[in-house]
Amino acid sequence: MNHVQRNRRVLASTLIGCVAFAIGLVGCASTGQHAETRALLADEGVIEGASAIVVVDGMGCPMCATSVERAFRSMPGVLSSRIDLEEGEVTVMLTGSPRVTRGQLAKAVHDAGFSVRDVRVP
Amino acid sequence: MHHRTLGVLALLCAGAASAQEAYWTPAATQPGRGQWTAAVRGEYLRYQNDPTGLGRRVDEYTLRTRLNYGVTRDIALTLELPLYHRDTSANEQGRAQGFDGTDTGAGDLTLSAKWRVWQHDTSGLDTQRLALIGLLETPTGGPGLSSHSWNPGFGAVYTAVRGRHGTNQALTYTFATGTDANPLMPGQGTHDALRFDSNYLFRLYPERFEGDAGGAAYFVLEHNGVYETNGDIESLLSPGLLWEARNWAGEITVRMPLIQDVDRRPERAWGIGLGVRILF
Repeated sequence: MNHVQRNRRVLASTLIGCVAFAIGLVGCASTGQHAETRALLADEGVIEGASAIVVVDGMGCPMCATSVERAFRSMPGVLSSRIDLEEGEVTVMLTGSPRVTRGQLAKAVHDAGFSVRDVRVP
Repeated sequence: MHHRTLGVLALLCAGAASAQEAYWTPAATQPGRGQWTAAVRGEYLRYQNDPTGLGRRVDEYTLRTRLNYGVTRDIALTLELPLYHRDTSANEQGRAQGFDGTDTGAGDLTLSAKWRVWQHDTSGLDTQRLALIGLLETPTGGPGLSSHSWNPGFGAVYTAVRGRHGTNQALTYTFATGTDANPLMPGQGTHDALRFDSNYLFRLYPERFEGDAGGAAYFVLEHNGVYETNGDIESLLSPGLLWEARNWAGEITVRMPLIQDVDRRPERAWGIGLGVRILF
């Protein structure tokens, strides 16, 4: 086996190993909640309370949580937010004026690059 | 010498939503729509064991600046510019061809676009993402620091986080259009380069995030390799530590050769990266 053939075999082995590792780590994917996110993005229901809980998926790290907080911070009608990273829940405190809709909260999370599972009033 | 103190650098980096990106390996993370992020990292790398007969040995210090912009939630543009300081020594043949001395200045500017084509978030923390990459290396570098060629490329990167575990897997193919018969770095000569990058992150602390999570410590193990169409192949193993808070992160990594089988350029030996990221 010459130099090139040997190196091609090393390359192939490495690539197969990396793919196998990634599959083994992640396992089988379950059905996603893309339909839930789409439905929430279109939800024009106004939130009547002083706060809302947004259930966010995909925040894999503390800095990701900061991204979501920043997305809410820039929204009119939002006073502040607090994130429970492990549970994926963001408690959003609202000013009441202007009124905020479920779709607007969902869109803020969606534009930040994450998925929204639910928006509910506590 | 003064420039030797550049061997270990602690530099400011700014980034948001890119925390699962380890030091040497790309990730399928990117800024959100309308967001800017910037990052700066400092690196040291030693090149040695030159098989070309030129006897080159290089101490390379790099200040790498990266600017990212989220065009949409799924598409981001990146501009990366390295600043190099290289001390090169060579044998008599290498010196006769001008391969010794010190070169300081900007390297080639790289433009890239990342398109996240698939995303699957299954819990507050867990996520899988796949992004496609298109890139163009431009010949903007200074003398001795440029490939003098326009090198396009494409690739894909996959990121997954599951509980305390994370991984990034990336493949990037760069078409080398240059004419340099004695490049220093892979993919900057006359042969194309296929880069295969892989890493694993394990969250050492905390075991479980409480509340808004003040910070987290990760062990990172990276495997970065390159195969060139002239048959050269090398891979490097890089263990490291990452501390990530809500608005800043600090990281340290050491790079060691694992496989070295190159006939047309010096081997990349050991290296070190040290950085501090701050979210502005």
